[in-house]
Amino acid sequence: MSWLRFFNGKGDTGGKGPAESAEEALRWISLPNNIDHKLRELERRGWSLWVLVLGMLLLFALYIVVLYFNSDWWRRTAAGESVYTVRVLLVGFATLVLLFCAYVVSRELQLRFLKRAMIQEEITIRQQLMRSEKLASLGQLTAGVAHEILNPLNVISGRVQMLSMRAPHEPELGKALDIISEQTRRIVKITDGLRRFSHTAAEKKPLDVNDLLEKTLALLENDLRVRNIQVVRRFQPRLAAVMADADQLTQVFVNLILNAKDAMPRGGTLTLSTALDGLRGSGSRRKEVVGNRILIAVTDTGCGIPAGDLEKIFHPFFTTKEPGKGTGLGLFVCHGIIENHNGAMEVLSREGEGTTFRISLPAV
Amino acid sequence: METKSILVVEDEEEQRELFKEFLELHGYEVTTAVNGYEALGAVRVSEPDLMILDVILPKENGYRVCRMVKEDQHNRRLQKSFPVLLVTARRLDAHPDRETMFQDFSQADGVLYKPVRLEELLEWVRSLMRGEKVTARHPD
Repeated sequence: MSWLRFFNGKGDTGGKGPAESAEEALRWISLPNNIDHKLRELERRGWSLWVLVLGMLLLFALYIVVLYFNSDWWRRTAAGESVYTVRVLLVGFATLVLLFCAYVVSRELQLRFLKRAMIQEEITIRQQLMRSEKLASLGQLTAGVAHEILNPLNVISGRVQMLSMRAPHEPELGKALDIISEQTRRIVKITDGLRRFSHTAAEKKPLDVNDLLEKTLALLENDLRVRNIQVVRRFQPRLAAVMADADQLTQVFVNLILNAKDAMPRGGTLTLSTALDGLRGSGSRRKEVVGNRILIAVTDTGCGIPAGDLEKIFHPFFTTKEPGKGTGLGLFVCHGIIENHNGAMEVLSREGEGTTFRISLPAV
Repeated sequence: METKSILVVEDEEEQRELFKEFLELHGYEVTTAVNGYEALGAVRVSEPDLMILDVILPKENGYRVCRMVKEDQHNRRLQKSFPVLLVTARRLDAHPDRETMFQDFSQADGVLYKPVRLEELLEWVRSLMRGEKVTARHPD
């Protein structure tokens, strides 16, 4: 019973830890700052272009001043003489400045468009999150209510069954007891219906893992930055899709990233990489890279996992976190999700150096 | 033939009494425990021929209790390899897949869902004591 040592003090398996589900994990993370940060970054880039334009105009003015002091073109032009070199230079500069202005204006418009698109996307993400959160809490509520109903119902139906066993000679009593049993079965059916209503099954769609990782990071990056953790992305471009449930896969990524975060209390580097195992697309570089399996790796430079614990980390209820901090279910659930997607998950770790979680999923 | 003993682990008194009364009516010797720790203690004091185990229990949940008992049986810390029957109302859990994972983890010999049909319970108890494997299934 070695795993008993890591018992976390929570008896109920229904107890929820910080990163047990994507929704719950996301509730810990502040959303709005992140998008603001991105917009601010874009705006800063926009401003630097305006500064460039201003600089160019100043340069142009300086050029004219220099010309004024160093040659007689001013006098000659004032006398009505046409100076060819000066005209060419003037027109050239004016064209350059105009072109630059046009570029900046188009850039500004593009920025505005981007801003609107980003805000829209942010709204969509939030709405999706809220919806899934609502669904999840509805599911938990129905499960809780059903549990509370079924327990007393068990006593009622049990007592009725025992009564009908003891009183087989009283037809009237027997009939009444039959009715009670019939009605208890009806209640069971209603609770069953509640489950069908609230339970959302895994919905597998073709997904871009890079995109999903990016979205997960967008939600967690603020938290990581605060903890001095640098994020390195090593995404293979034009990765083939995987058939997966976006929510469940996000849950896996959130779990792994938050675990990595916990492993690096004094900061460090979190590397997310994707790659393709198998054949590469032939010919044109624009083609998607095709292959057999998508490989995803989450690497941290944290405390690492002792060799003795490595084989246990996917066991349920295994945790090295302080009591109340983790349920020891995170990786167990992750492993289950990956297996449900016909994938595999493994861990490589050296104590004091860091940990890598590797996931492989079949490509579409 | 000697009387077979059954350990019923239930935190709610009414449920406990129901199972106890019903099983005693059918000639079994019934002992009870009200939480996970008590259950683990009880199997060490005297090993029953069968354990009926609720899942949502104070102090230690049924899945873990079952797993510990099964590991102890495997390691020969317990002499008899008595079967364990989980009785739970958790079939409406929001995560059915996870529920299945937990049941697999617990290594229970059978799972019955509340409300239990007593005839079915008796049938299961008899076949489990005969050493037959019963497969968990949802009612209806």
